[in-house]
Amino acid sequence: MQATKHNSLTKPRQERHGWHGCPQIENEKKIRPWESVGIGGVSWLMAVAAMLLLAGSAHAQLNASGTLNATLINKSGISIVFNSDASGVALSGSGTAAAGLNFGTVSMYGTAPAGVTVTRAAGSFTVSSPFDVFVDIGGTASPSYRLQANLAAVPGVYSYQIDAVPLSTALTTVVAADPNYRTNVLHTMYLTIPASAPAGAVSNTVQFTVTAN
Amino acid sequence: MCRRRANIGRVALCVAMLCLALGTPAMAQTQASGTLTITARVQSSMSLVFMDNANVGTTGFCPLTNAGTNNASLNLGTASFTTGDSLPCVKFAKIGAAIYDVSSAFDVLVTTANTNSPNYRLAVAMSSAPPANVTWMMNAATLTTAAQTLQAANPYGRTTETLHVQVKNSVPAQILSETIFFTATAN
Repeated sequence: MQATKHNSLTKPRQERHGWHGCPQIENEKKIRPWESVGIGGVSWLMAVAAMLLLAGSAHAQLNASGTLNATLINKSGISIVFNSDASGVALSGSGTAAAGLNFGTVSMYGTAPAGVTVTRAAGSFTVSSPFDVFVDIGGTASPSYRLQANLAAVPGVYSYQIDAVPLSTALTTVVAADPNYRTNVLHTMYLTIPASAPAGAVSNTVQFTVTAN
Repeated sequence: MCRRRANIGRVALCVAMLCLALGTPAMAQTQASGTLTITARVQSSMSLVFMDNANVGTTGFCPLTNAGTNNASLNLGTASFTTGDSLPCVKFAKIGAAIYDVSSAFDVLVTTANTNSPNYRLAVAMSSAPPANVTWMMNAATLTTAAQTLQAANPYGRTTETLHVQVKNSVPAQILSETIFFTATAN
């Protein structure tokens, strides 16, 4: 009955779990007496265990316990969305990060559409409209954010400007350190059109990048 | 080495790699982007405003009220066949034996944008028919309530126009007032 001699229950913990000399590989075979010892095909050890279980149920003292190890990785994140400003034109896709600002039909000497301001200069006119930028952040203690923008396409004869910052296809800082997270921050988009430009559609996309400081 | 030790080593390596993998995007997420598409449709337009002539203040060039706008006024003072006009800026002249003419020149500034129009047509009309024996004229054209072309192809910019009022001496004393409509049309 070699199995009973080397039953793992009689071994030190280190040996049973392989922390010292790793004998568990051998023991894994030795501690299975039901493989070598059988009583009518049923291990006597299993029979004893069944009896113990039945005895326990008779006491009605059922206890169970478990542990659930949950893990959450909280990453830092930042987002930007554009919102319509009450004093400007309504944005299409307001509340998203891919919005549209349509000045409508504008002219140097005509009436400005609602929400659009027209400023005339010698040889050109500028249309402008305010819009809101909403930046949210989580998972970091950033005190402010940097707002940068660039044009997606070369503007040609037209000039684009956010607040006092002229835009080009190169990334340009609009605000270096804006502490106003989670609030609508008003900015103004300006589009200057030369009087010599032909009538027709004007379009470009301003790409914004917001970075936590 | 035994298998258990090897497994522990692998687990430790995996944990370290997982930390690195999670740590890198966590830093990169402090930047976000958005796009705002700007569109507009530019429409051709033109402007007409009345301006004081460069000789304003001298005889024949009275100042306008609201110069620089498209809704100005011109005061020609008080005139009579016998005494002439009260304002020195008004040019007074007699035409024949029974008619006097008062006149003053001013400028019309017409500009255009976002069009390739080379010039414009200027038409004028008056708001109401004048009393008998009173004639309103713009340059040499007698004004009526119907629009008439004053200049067919003016270049854009300033042009000087002269308003005349001719009154026969038989016309009773009264206030003579008219609104003159100017229309510039791009050619």
